[in-house]
Amino acid sequence: MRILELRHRERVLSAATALLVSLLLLVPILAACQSRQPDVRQKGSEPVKGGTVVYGAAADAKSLNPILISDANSRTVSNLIFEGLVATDAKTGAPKPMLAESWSVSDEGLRYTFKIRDGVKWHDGTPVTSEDARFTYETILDPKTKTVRRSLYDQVKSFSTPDKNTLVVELKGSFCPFLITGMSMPIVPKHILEKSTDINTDDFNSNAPVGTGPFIFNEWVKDDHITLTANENYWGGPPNIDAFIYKVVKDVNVIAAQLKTGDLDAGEFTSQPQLVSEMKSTQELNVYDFPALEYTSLGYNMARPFLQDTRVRQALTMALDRDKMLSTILDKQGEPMLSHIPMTSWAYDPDLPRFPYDPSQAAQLLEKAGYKKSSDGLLRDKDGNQIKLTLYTSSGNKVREGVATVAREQFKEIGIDLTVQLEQFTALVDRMNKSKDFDMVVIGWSLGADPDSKSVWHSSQRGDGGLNVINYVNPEVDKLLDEGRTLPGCDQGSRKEIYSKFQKILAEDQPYNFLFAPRILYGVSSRLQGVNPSPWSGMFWNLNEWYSDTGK
Amino acid sequence: MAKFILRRLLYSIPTVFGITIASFSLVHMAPGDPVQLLVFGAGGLDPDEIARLRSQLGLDQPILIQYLNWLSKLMRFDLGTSFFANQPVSLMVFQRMGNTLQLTIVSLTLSLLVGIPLGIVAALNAGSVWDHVSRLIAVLGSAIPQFWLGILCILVFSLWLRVLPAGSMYTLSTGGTDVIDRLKHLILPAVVLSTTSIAIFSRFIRAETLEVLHQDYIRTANAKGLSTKVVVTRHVAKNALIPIITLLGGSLERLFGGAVVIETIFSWPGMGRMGFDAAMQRDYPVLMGLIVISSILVVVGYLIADIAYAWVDPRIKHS
Repeated sequence: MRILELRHRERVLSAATALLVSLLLLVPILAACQSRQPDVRQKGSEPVKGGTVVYGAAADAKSLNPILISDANSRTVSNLIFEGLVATDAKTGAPKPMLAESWSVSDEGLRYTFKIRDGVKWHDGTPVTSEDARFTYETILDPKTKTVRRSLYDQVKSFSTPDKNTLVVELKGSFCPFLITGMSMPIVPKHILEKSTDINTDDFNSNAPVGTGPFIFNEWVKDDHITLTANENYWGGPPNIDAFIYKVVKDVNVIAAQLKTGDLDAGEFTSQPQLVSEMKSTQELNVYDFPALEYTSLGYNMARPFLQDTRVRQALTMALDRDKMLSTILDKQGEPMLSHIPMTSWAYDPDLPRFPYDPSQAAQLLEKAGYKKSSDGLLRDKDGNQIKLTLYTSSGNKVREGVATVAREQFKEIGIDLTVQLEQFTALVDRMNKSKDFDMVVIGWSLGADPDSKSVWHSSQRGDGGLNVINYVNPEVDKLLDEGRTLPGCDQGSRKEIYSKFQKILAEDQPYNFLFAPRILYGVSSRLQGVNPSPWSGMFWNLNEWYSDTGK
Repeated sequence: MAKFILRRLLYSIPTVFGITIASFSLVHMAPGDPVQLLVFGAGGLDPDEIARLRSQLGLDQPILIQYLNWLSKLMRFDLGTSFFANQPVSLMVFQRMGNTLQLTIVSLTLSLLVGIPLGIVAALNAGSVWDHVSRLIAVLGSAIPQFWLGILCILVFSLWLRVLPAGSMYTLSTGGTDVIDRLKHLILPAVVLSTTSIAIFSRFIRAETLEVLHQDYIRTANAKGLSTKVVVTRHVAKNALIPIITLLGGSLERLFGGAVVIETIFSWPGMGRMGFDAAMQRDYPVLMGLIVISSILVVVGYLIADIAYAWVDPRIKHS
C-alpha cells in the first residue's frame, strides 16, 4: 500500500514538474509576442563630439591585416583602420577616390596612373607614399604570403612608383573589375612590415595594426572585444565619436537583449527578421535596413538528366511561392531576385523574364517535357519512373532551412518527392565543390560591386576552386562573361549591354531559382545620428560621421 | 606509491598516443575541407592558388606524414598555427584558459556546495517533502536545456529586473579591474552552468548516502548512542563522499574545456567556444591542440582521483 502510494505521488510530482517546465518554456515565447506601435523620432541637428559606439558582433575577427583577411567580420574592423587607394561609392557602387585623390586610365585600358593624396599619414605619423601601395600589392603576390587575394592582381604586368605620390600599374590585358576589386584593397605600411620575418604571423596582424583610417587600433581581447579610438589627425577630419568597440556577442537573441538594455549601441539581426517589430517598438532603438549584396538561391544540378531540361527548371521555379516565402521566412524583409545582379547595381536590368508562382502552368510545362502526374499523385517520366530528388542545405541557417521546408511541401503538390538533407556548412561546401552529389542546393551568394561573376557562371569554373557548383554550361554566357571582364576601355554603357544579355539568359535558363535578397537589419541606439548604411559599403563606412546626441 | 604513480604515468603515454592517432584520423576524415572554405570565402580561386594554400597549410602531404609532422612538433611543445587566425594554437589557448577557469571553477564549487547537502538531506529524509524537493531540483536541472535557461535568465534578470548584466566578463568601461563588477557578470553564467552538475551530484550523493545508511557500522554507531549529527557528519558523509572523488577527477577536463553553450549565450570568451568554432571550420591545428590538452587532462584527472582515493580511504592500497 505504501509503495503504491509513493508511486502515485511520484507520478503526480513528475506530472507537476512537467507542467511547470512547460509553463516556464512559454515565458520567452510570450515575451517575444509583446509589441508596441513604432513611434516617429526626429533627428538631432548639430554633430556633437564625444561618445563611444559599442557594436555587438556575431563572431570575432580573425586578423586585422587587410591583405590576409578572408572573412567579413575581420573586414568590418579592418576597414575602419585601413584604407585603399580607391573605395566603393556608398550611393552608386562605382569607384571613388580614397587615398588616391585621382587616377587616369590609358585609352586601351592597360595603364592606370594614381595620384596619392598629399599629407596623409600612417597612425604612427609616417607619411604615406606610393611605395606603401606598391609594397602592399607585391606582398600579396609574394608566394610566401598566405592570402586568397592574389588572383585580383593576375592581370598585372608591373607596379612602378615614378615619385612618392604616383603609382603606375601596367596590366597585361584589359581587366574591367580591376579598379574596384584590386585597387580598393586597403594598403599596409611598408616601413613597418618590410622588417617582418613572417608576415603571416606578424604581431602587426592582431596586436599592432597601423593604418591610415579614421580609427586607430587600441586593444584586442580575443573573442571578447576590439577597441578602436578616433584618429584626431585623420586626413578627412577627426571622427565625432571618441571610440568604437567591436564586442563579440555571438547569439542574435542576446544581441537583441543587449541592444534593449543599452549594453550595445548597434547590432545586426538579419538572421532573425522576426525581431523587426520588437526592435522598432523599443524606444531607445532605431532600426536601419538596406538591401543586401547577397541572395538566397535554390540551385539545380545541371548534371542530372531530369534537371537538364530548361522547361523542367522553369516549372520547378513556378511551383514555388516566393512571395509566401518572403513573408513567412523573411517577415517581408527582402526582395525577389531575378538573376545574379543586384537591383542596386548600375548593371541591373529590370526587364527580365519572370516565372511567377503558378502550379498549374508548372504541371503543363512538365507534361510538355514528358513528365506527368500519375493517378497516385506522383510525377513520373515516360517509362513510369518516379521523380525523386534530394535537396541539400546548411544546417543552422533558419532562412535556408525554411526555404527547404517550403520547397518540400510545394514540390509535393506537383508530384515530386523531395528529400531534404541538412549538412553542416563546411561539409556542404565540400559536397558542392568536390563530390557534386546533390540534385538541388539552397545556398547564399554574395555579390560584388562589379557585375563580373565569372567564378560562378563560367563553364571553366566547374572544377576545383571554381564556384560553378551546379555545372552550368552555356557558351553564350561564357562569351558574355569574358567580354564583360575584358572589354577594351571598359566603357560602362557597353558593359551594361553585355550584362543585360547575361541576365536575360540566366533568367530564362533558370539554372537557379534566384529566390530573394534579404534586407540587412540593424538596431542602433537612438542617441546616434548620422548613420547612413549603404548596400555597397555596409553599416560602418561613415562611422567617422556618426555622432551621439548626448556626447556619450 | 611513487611506483604506482610512475607506472600509471607510463601506461597513460600509449593512451594519449592512441587518442591522438584516433582523433587525427577522425578529424581529417570528417567531411569538409578548410581549403574549400577559403575558396568559398574568396569567391573562387585558381587551381594553382589552391595547391599553394594546401602546401602552405601542410595539407598536400599524405595523412601519415601530416600526423608525423604534427607529432614531432608536439614533442617540442609546439601545437602548430591556426589555419584561419594565423596564430600559434598555444597562444590562443593561453588567452582563453583563464577566462574559462574562472567560470568553471566557480560553477563547480557552486555545484558541490549545493549538490552535496541537497543529496545528503534527501537521503536522510527519503520519501519526505525534502526528498521530493531535491528530486524536483534534480529533474529541472537536468531537463531544462541550458541555452534556454540562459536566455530566460538574461530576459528576467537583465532585461526586466535590470539587476545583472546580460553577459560578457566585465563592463567594458571598467577595463575589467572592478572585482564587484566581475562577480556580477559571473553570477548568471556560473549558476546556469552549475544546474546540470547540481542535479548529477545531488542524485549521486543521495544514492551513496542511502547505501551507507544501510551499512552495519552505521547501525553500530547508532547503537552506541552517538548523536544523529555525529553519525551523519563523521560516519555517513565521510563514507558517502568518497566516490565523489571519481566525479571530480572526471571534471578536471571540463574545467579547462569550458562550456560551449554557456560561453556562447553569455558572450564569455572561453575555450569551449574556440573549440566549437574550430570544429565548424575544420581548423585542424586548433582542434588537435584542444584534443591533446583534453586527453592529457582526463588521464591526469583520473590519476589524481586514484591517488586521492588511496589517501582518503585506507582500505585501498596501490602497489
